Amino acid sequence: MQPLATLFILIIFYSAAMGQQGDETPMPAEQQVGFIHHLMRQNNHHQVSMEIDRLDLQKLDDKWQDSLIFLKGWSAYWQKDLDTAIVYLLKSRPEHHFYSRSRFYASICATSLSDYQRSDSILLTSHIEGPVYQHLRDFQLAGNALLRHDLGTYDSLRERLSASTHYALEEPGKNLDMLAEELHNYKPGNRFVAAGLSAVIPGLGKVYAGKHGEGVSTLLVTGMLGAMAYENYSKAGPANWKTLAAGSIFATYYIGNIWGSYFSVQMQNQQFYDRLHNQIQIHMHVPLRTIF
Amino acid sequence: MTAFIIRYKFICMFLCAPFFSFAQIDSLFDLAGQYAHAGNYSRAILEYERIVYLSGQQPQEIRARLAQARILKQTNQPEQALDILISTPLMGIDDSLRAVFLYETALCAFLSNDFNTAEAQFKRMEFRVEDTALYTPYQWLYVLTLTQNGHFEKAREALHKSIKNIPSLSADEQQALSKQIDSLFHEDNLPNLKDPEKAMMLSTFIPGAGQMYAGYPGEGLLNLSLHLVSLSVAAYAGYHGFYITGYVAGLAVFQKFYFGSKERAYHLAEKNNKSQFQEFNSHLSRLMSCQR
Repeated sequence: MQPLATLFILIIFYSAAMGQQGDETPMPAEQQVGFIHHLMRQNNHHQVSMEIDRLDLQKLDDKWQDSLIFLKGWSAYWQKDLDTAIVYLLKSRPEHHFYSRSRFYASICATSLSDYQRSDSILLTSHIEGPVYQHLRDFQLAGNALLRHDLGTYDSLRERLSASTHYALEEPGKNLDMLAEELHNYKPGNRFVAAGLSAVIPGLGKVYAGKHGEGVSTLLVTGMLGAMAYENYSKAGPANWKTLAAGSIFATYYIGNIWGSYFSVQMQNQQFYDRLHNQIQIHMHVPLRTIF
Repeated sequence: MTAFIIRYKFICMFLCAPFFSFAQIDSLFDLAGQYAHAGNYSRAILEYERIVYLSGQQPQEIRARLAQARILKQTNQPEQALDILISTPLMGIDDSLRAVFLYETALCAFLSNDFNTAEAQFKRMEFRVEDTALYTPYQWLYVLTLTQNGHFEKAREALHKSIKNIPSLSADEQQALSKQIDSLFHEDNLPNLKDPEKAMMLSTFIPGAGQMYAGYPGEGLLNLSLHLVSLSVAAYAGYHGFYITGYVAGLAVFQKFYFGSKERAYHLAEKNNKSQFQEFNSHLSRLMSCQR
C-alpha cells in the first residue's frame, strides 16, 4: 500500500512538472541579476541590454533596481550608445554603491559626444566625496577645458591638482600637460598663404601645410610636365598639337597643385585637432579605468 | 498517517527536484525554439544563453551552444558561431552528441574559410568518437575540406572508404562509383593550381608573362603591348630630340605599367586558383550527391 502511495505521489509531481510549457517562468531576482552578470563576463553587452529591457524594474527591490539600472547604462557605454548610457548612469542614486562610477562615466560619455558643458555640469552637480574622487573630478574638468582649447582654465585646474599624489592621475596628468603645450605652440596654417606659395613654387604650399613628401613629389611631377611643355614649345612651336597637349597637361597639374594646397591646409588643421582630441580623451579615460 | 506523510514528503522532494529542473530547461528550449522559428534570433540566442547559465549539466549546455551556433550560421555569422563552438569544452557527453558538435564546428570553420581548423575537427572526431557510423554521414564535408587544403589523395581515399559504408549500394554500383571517383581525381582533372609568387616573378622579367602563366593569355598580350608602346614612345621621342617628352610620356608610363603588371599577375593567379577549385568542387558535389 505504501509503495503504491509513493508511486502515485511521484506520478502527480512529474505530471505537474511536465505541465510547465513554453511560457517564460520568471526567475528569482537574485538569479536574474546573476544571469546578467554572467552575460557581462562574456562581454555580451547587447544581450545584457535586451535582458534588462525585458524586466519590469518597478517590481524589483531597490537594491536590484539600482544594480540593473547601472548595468543597463554600463552595457550601453560598452556598445558606444553614449546617449542611452548617460540617461541610465545619471539615474544612479547617491546611496548606491556604483554612484561615483556612474557619474564619472556619464561625464566622460558627454565628453565623447563633444558636449563639454554637459560633462562639466554632471561633474559639478555630483555628490563627490573623498580627496581621490575630488582630484579625479578636477582632472576631468581640466581635460574638458583642454578640449575646449581653454588653456587658462586648464592651467588653474592643473595647479589645484598638483597637490594630488595619486598614482592614477600622475602619468595621465603629465601627458595632458604635454598635449596642452603642443596645443599652445601650434599655429594653424592659412589656406590662402598655402595656395599662394604653390602658385609661386609648385608643392611649396603642401610643404607649408606639413606634407613634405607630397610637396616634393608635386614639385617633381609638375616640374617634369612643365619641362615637357617647354621642350615641345621650343622645338615644335606654339601651335603644334604636341605643344598644346603637353601644355594642357601641365596647366591641369599646376592648377590642381594650387587647389590641393588650399584644401590640404584645412585638412592638416583638422587632422591635428582630431588627433589631439583623441589623445586627450584617451588620457581622460585612463584614471577612470584605474580607479574604478 | 502523520509518519507516512513525513517519511514520504522527503522522498518526494528529493526525487521530484530533478523533474522540475529538467522541466524548466526543456521549457526554455521550447521557448528559444519558438523565438528562432519566429525569426527573433537575438532573443533566441539570449534564451539559449540562459539555458547555459541555469543548466549546470554538460549535455544541456552543449545542446544550447549548438543551437546558438546554428542560428548564427543561419544568419551568415559563421565566424561568431565558430568562436562559440571552439571555446566550449566537450566533457561528459556521449559519442553521438560529440560527433554532431564536432561536425558543426567543422562546418562553421569551412564556411569561415578556415579549412585547417575544419580538417582538425575531423581528426578530433576520428580520435574521440569510437563508433565510425556516427560520423560517416559527415564525410562529404571532410572530402571538401581536404580538397580545399590540396590533399587530393586523402580526399580520394576518404571517398572510396565512404562508399563502402553505404549498405544500399550493390557491388556493381560501388564499382561504378569507384571508377568515377578515380576519374575525377585523375591528375589531368585535378585543379591546376598556379603559384601567385611565381606569376609575380615572371612578370618581373617579361611584362605580361605572369598573366599568361596565370591563365589569362589575352590580358598578358595586352599588357605586353602596352609596355612595348610606352617604350616605343620613349624611343621615338628620344630619336627626334624630345628627351624630356620621351622620359615623361614614355618611360614614366612604362614604369607605372610595369609595377602594376606584377601586382595584377599575383591577383590573377589567385583568382584562377579560386575558379578552378569552384569547378572541381562542383563536379565533386555532383558525384557525392549521386552517392547519397
